[in-house]
Amino acid sequence: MLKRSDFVFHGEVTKIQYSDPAGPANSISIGTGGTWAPILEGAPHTFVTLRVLESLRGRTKSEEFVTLRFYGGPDGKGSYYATSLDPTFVMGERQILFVRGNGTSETPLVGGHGGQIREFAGGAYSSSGVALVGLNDNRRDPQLIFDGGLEPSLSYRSYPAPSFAGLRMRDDFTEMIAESGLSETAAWAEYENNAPREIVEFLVEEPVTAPGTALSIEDLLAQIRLTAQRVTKPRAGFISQDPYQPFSFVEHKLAAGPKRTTRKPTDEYDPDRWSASTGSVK
Amino acid sequence: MITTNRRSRILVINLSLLILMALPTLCDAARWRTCGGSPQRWSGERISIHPAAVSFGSDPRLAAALRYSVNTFFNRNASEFDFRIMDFDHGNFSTRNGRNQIAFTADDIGAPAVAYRTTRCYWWFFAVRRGIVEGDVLFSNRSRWDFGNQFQRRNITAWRGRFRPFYTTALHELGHVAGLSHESRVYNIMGSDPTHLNATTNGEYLPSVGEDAGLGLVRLYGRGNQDDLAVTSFVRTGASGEYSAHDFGLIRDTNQGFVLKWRSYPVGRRFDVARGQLVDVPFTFENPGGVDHRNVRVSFYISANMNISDNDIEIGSRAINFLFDSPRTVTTTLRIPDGLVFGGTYYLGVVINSDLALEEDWYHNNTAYHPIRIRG
Repeated sequence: MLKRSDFVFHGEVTKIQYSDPAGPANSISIGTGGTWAPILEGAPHTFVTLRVLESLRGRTKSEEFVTLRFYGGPDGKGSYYATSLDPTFVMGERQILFVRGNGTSETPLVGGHGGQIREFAGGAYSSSGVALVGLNDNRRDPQLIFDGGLEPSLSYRSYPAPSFAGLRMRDDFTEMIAESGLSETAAWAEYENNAPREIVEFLVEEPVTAPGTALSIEDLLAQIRLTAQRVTKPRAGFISQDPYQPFSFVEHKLAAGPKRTTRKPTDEYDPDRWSASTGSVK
Repeated sequence: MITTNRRSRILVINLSLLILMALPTLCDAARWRTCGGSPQRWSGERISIHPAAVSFGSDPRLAAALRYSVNTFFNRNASEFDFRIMDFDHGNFSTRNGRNQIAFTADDIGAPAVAYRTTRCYWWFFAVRRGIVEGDVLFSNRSRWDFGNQFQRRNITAWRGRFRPFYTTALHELGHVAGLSHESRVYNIMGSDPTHLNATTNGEYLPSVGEDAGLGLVRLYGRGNQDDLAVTSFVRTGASGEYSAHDFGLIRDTNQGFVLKWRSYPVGRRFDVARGQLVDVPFTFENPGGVDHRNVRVSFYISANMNISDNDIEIGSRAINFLFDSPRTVTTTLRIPDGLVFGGTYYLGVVINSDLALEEDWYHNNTAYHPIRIRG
């Protein structure tokens, strides 16, 4: 993972902002006292600013704060956009991040959530809150070993709730207001007075399993420092992103299927191959 | 297959000598997100998904591979939840167009495949409104994929091949679209998917949603109407980040406890054994169908080939409970027969439901094996 990173650092989350490519005139931070989520017309993105506590690989141009840009987040209209590679960020939390392609990749961490180690009570945890219990004995390229259940304090994501104006842009919400019989003003007051300012989505597991005993974050940092001396310098530099500037975003272009496959030109699929019981393996 | 006259010289081990050891396992293990305390799931049980014409329309073999992945492999899960493949989609890709799309891209997406999920979660009138409203899947066409209609094990990475099985990754990503998160605690498709496989006859592999993800889907959508049992030589070996890690199980010497010397072999790990040696042999047993079965007969064989059947030499059998809760890796003590040829390669195999007492919807996944070589 170190080899594939442009920049590896131990940092502390100081700001989480949401914006879209058009420009974040209404970008906001969570935890600032009950601010609703900004209404985004374009693809929602999350900007995470961290204070660099220690740079472990790559240069930061002596910046004390760096900002990473991720695809996804709340659109301010009641929807949340996520990918299966998403890491988790919580205000004030300390993390070790293995960054790659900030500003060009939609999830600029090596392996997505795999490039994030979260610090909790002095221990190291995965993005979803599974304890890092050790490293394997591959001295050249140690692999991280995780085990156990989710640490409850880490297994959630939170983001600012949509404003009433944002929700009014949803057809289903408009229908619910109509069904409630409330006037527009009464519905607005109802929402403003009672709706929580923050949405919290928990990651749950069945059964609930005790978290593993986490490796100390200091031990992990020591191991990373040691390993970083043995790997070559990163090829690409790190560029911090500016949440207050417009940025380019292009939806993924579709492509034909891959060339490098095991398919043979003469192959033909048998539609009934697996479709029915064969009666017996015997 | 081993000839009958040789079979007559083989000691069939007495059941009383068998020791069955179940590794610590969890009862039903799955993870998902909640909003307001309720699972984030689709409001219905049948969700349409649109394959991109540019990705799947130009090559009927790719379209067939997708159909296999969805109709044959994913929809054979234990729950009520199904995907329905729609006509080819000729539009551009977007995570915000209200259509569930599945496609290839040449862009760097940071992984062989990524699932995109849009959920709603907001408060209104003392209740939370929630649900998945869109799900899309992108595959990287930079990866080496196996779409083989022959499902040859030698082609894929789990068996030392060069290609990643498209089918298992499709199942994993569709699991995300359905509402499942990664799971690291047990052997399952929402962990490391390229090694969540069954081995069928004729050197083929068989992808499956499996028991654990199937159970997660049942928790979200309710139970379906499947009855299926499965066995594999893969076991969970640990966890890497959010993913469970899997590899071939290790055979140990029963008396000394050490792992037998093995070498990687194109059809699996081949262990060196001695004639008459007592060995502890692990297999992972799954109940992907969702119906509890107790006292299912499981038989162990020595075979000269990978097609394990009752024509081979039976070296033991016993009953195992297949409860719909979690895959179980079970280690069985078996005695290597005396009549095997020095230096010969054999297959220490297992057949579940070997007396065919149960009627299953699928029998393709009822055998597994570990290659062995008889030490001189």
